[in-house]
Amino acid sequence: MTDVATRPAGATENPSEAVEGTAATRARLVSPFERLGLSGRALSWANWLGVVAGVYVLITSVELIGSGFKAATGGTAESLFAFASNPFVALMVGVLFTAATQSSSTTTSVTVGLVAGGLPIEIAIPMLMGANIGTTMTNTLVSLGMARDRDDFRRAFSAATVHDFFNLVAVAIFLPLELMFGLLERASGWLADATGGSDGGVVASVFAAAGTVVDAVTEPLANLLESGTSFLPGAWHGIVMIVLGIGLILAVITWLGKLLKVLLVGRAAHVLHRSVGRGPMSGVASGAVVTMMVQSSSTTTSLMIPLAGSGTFTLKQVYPFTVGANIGTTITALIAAFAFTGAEGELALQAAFVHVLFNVFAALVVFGLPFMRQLPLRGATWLGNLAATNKVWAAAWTLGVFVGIPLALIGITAVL
Amino acid sequence: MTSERPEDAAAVERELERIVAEAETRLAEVRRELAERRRRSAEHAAQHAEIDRLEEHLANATVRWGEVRDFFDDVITHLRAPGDPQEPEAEGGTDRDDPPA
Repeated sequence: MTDVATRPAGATENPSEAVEGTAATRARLVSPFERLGLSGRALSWANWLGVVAGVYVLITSVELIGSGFKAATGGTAESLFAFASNPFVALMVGVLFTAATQSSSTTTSVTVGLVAGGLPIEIAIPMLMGANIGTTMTNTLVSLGMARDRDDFRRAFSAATVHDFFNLVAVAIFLPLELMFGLLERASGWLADATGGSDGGVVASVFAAAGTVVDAVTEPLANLLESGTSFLPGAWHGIVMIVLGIGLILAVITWLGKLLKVLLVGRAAHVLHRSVGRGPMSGVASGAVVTMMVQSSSTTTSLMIPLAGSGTFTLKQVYPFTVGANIGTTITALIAAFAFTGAEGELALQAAFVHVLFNVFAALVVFGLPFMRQLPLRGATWLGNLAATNKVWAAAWTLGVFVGIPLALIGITAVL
Repeated sequence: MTSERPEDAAAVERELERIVAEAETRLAEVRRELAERRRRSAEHAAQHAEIDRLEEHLANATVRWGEVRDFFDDVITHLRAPGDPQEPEAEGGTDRDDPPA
């Protein structure tokens, strides 16, 4: 969620009157520090320090999840996630968790922590793919708010669901490839070894040194939180650590998003201005860069929905931007991987690289190949027309893809 | 003064007509190109104007649960009154969606 202040156009700014925006008022981004009365350079410094503190807490939280998972499973991680050993269930867990938190960054960061704590990578890979699908729910929900005008809704719903279709096509291609050949597991394993392994050369040495420094800095807080919950018996100690870690990650990702939006909105606008009229590759690049800046693909893809709904940006222009957003959001998992060193660090890095590679491969195959590129566009156009004709289809799609099908699949697997 | 033979005059006329037709085709092409450039220019200007309001768009880039609830209320109302056709004339338009590249 974005912290916004709204005011009628032309009215005097007053951050203390922060309320949710409406169509009749102009919303603006408000830093939490602005409420403390800071302004100018002091506010900017406070915002940047807030970002540094946020990254610190993010990495500490991921470390906490790793330790918690170890404590909860006692070295038998597979048993706790036995229900997700079916890759389709693991995929749906990723979809549901991301849809519930509305943050793929949270899912990927948590997964990185779990992998470092012993979760098998073959379970984590479908979960990371599911995060991609789950994160598309946010812009789909945003588009439902434009249902009053049929043409606006058709364009907005198409712009939202082109992201859904892209990710569904990507999963339909890469999940079977993963199950048959272990494509992402092998590629990410090789990359993690090259960058985080003990014999990976200069790059690995740099990564290892950075990881050691980060680990040394974050270790005290992680230990403090761990000892603070150590009075709990057995596996509960670990479970509470995981829940605490997830809660902290959710909070800190929201916090980082607020601050980064305030700090980088000007640069993000500059990137977008430069991409106008420059073709699809520029759209992919701007989507990736802006998403890295605000640390949230949900935010960047959602901000395009009203612009697509009004017809200012066409579906073909929004599409590459969403592909770039998928790539840009993978930076969070890479940051989270710095929570660990040694063998754990390599596993965490591998999980982070799975997310990066999945999105890069998807962009290359689904967006890069001309005949594949049309699939999400056609699907989204078809669904947008259908939804504009009858809103029931939009409701069925939203509830079915993000809630109904995932719950049904998990339920069926649990019963069988 | 020299006088043209009738067959030469006809040939010249045909040639002139061909040149005129070619020029008209070319002129139509240039007009289309000009219109397309103006359309793109207007589209880009509108996009730049929206990007200038990025702060506002970023602040609004969030799910408004009230609107989502209203949407589903509307759908439920529609489902409870199946005899009421919902916007039957809606057809897939492409006018503002994807102008030619």
